[in-house]
Amino acid sequence: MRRKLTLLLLIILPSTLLVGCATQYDEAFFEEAKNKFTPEESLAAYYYSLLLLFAFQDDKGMWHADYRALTNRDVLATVNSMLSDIDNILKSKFWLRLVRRLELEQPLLRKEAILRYIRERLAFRELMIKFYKLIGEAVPELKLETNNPAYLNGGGSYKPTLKSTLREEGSEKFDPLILWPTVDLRKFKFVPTYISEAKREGKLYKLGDLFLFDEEKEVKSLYEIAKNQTPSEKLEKVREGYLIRAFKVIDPEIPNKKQVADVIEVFRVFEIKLDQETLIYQREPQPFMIGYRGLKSRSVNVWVIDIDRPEETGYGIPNEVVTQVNIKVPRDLITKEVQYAFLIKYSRYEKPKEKREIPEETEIKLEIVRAGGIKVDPWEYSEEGFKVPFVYKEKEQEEWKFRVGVKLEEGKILYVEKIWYRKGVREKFNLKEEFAQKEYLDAKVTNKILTLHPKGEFSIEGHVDLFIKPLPFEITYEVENNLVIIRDENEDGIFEKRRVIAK
Amino acid sequence: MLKQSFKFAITILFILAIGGLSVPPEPVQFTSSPQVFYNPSNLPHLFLDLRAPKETLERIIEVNNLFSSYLIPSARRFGKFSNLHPSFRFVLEDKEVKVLFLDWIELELRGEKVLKYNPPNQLPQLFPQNELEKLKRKLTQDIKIALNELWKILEPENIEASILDKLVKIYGFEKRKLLEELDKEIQIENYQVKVREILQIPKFEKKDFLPDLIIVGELPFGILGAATLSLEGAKRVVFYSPLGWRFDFIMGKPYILMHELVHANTQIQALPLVYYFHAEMFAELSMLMADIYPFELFFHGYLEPVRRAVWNYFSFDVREAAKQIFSFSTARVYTIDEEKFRKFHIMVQEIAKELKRFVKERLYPEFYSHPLYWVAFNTKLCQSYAFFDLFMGLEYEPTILDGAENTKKFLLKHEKVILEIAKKALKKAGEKKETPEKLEEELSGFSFCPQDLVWWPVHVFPPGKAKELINSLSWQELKLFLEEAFNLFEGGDSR
Repeated sequence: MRRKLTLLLLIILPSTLLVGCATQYDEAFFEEAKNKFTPEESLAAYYYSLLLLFAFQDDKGMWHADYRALTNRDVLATVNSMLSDIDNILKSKFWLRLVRRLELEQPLLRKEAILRYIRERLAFRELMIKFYKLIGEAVPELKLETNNPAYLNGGGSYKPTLKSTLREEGSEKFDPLILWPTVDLRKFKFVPTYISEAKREGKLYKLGDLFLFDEEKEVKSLYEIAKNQTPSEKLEKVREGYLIRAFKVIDPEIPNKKQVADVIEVFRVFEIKLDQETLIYQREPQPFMIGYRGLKSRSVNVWVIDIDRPEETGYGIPNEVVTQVNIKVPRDLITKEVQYAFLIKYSRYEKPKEKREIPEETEIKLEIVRAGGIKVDPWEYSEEGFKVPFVYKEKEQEEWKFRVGVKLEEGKILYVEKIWYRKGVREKFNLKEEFAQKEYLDAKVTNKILTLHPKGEFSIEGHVDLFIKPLPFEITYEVENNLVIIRDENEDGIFEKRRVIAK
Repeated sequence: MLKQSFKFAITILFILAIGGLSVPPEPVQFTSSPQVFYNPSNLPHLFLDLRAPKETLERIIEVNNLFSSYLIPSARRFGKFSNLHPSFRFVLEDKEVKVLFLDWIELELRGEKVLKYNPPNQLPQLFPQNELEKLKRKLTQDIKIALNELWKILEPENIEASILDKLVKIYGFEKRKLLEELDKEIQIENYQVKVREILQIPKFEKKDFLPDLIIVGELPFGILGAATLSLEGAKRVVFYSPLGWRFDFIMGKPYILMHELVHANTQIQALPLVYYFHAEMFAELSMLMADIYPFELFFHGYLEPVRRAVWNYFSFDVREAAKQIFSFSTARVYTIDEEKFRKFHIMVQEIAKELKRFVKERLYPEFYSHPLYWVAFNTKLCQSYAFFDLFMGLEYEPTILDGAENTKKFLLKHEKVILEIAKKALKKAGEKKETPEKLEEELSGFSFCPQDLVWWPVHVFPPGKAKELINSLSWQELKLFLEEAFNLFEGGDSR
């Protein structure tokens, strides 16, 4: 009877092999309980402990599953884990072959997109929790636009009992509504209650604006983007900068003369040069960074950051809540080193791209070559010609920054070399026709003076340029550990051949 | 009489087993031309030597005969080419299913068209061509029965209604509005996705249980059936071993097939969610509900969490009962105590009846109204069946300590201590233990929790031994095991 065989399940979860590699709750429970209870008692206690931790009892003594017993972070961790499972399957050649055979790749990518969507929502909730904890307020309840009151705990009224001491009370709990797509997250603004109240009552005053412009760069027309037009290909020069705006809650009844900000908003602004005389300024519609005073803090230290640019999908939904710096007045943000670094970090933050390298099937081919049956031409050819990809003789005054070499073999001068030593470029020249025909006994170089000793003739001496043709026939340079040779064989100034030799 | 025949069978088996151990199998050579076996019965040849008794004990003996005489082939020496074997298609519930008979091949031998049955580690057998028709007819019939049976026992309409009731409570919509909302489509990246799909709320349809391909052929290690875990839109494959089919014949219902069809249903067992709960237990519980074979509860590895819960909540100690029924003597020869068997059989039937209600009214609705939450719960506890243990507590009062009242008294008295232990255990849950270095290297990136025993034939070993065994295997051996499994798909050499 014990031979009843197992039913196999594929695709196998690799973690199946990890059985015994991590502790299970029940295992840990029985281990802890073994000195206190008999095995039967331990078992009863184990099941009861699950109820105590993850369920609640109604008035009639019935137990109900508590959908808020886990924290938001617990659920987020599982979603992350699922995403990593899919990623691991799709980037492994071994798994991918199987997946493709079962036409599972596209459905998996779809599933991945859905899980990413869920992850974003859970991460947003996590940010809300972090923000309100730092501010010292309760996290706002998620609500559906419906007439029925949601009673969220599997039925009955939710009464946390003393038993649920371990349940993470309060704000960190998981809220099932976060998964419901019609709960619009953009509605949740990260604003402390006292600020929104002050705003409503007209007690929030602007302390001032501060502009700071930074480096100049070329971007697609921001002007056109702002007008909701498709930007033209033309790039325009802009200077990116910041508008730092500070607010303060001022109650006329409680005079407070200190000019310490309660809210600091930082916008990205752009100075756009339309032509020589016209400069226009553009501000992003929403701040990319808003700071508030945290719990028991006298300066602005809780920063809500939205790193997305207006044209990106996540714009308007915060990406991070951080508490790295304290600021009392807007000026601090640009005058103090740490604060300025903080500003720069998030204003130019680029999201890491989630890119997976999907392994390709190996191409199967057939090639049979008998020994000696190949002649490999190491040269590449181009009709437009090859060029040295960098400048090595920049200006006229640097013309002298070369050394000269000459190669003499069996009475013939093979080439004369100009070595641009600062960039390691060697130009090889042929001698002019009148010098090329002769047979030479010796050739010497002193600085840039070439001395030639033709056979049976007087020695000739002069600046190297007197002897050589105006254009080199070969140039050698180095790029990324490769030695590159480009050659012009028909003396038309176009280097039509190239050869790359690894160093 | 029954007892005698059983003992006789056991004795024969004992001799066979010893023989099997001492004499290495020799290569078979045909000295004369093989005979074509004319099967006058309407049954395919696979089932001619089997009975399908109604009485449970007789059924157990028949199953025992089947399995204990079966020499487990480790794997095929060579793979098979799927396109050379007979296949056919049929349409059921508007879905086309292809069936491939991997262990059979159509041949022309000396001018006669024959069907050759050619399983690994067995002599080939020849049949007239009409044998294939019988196989096709029987399989189509069995799939239909499996599908209808699943639909009947699960009562998906009721489960769906219960799920909706739960959802109403969780999200606070009125029911009609909720249904509308669930079918609303939203845009996620490049996909149009229904709210239902995001929340992973299943919608039951008969055709979802049907795979695209059923491969009938012997599986390595004597595995009875297998299924690919999948997603909607992908090709789903079910493997059905002739051994499993023979088992189903004895049972009178396509039991193994039903189990695999549950896995094949992407509405309830979709990737990657299925990695995070005890999917095998779910599938096997559905079987337990089919009233075919309640004794499954005694032995099946997938039902280990159920056995434990049954002990705690119904006071029935399955392991002890099994020991009393099947008393152990020597060399894997057991004696059945028929009186005890009949006594416990009544109890097991009671349990099966209760579990049937529990699965339909609590397990499915609770889990599938909020699947993401429950898999997070399993992950937190690093235990793939933690949700089941909790749901049992929501439904029943524990009775393990001399009755419900005494147990309750004990638990209330020790509540504080229990909470303390629980706190410590929860902290420890998910802690990594020592992992073989190589294993960790190869599997880095895959999640460690929840721990899942589903895939391993745990029930073959005494409790706790399975883990030891797995830990003792080298990575190389494990990999070999995995590769065997993949050869099902690859069709390549295995060793």
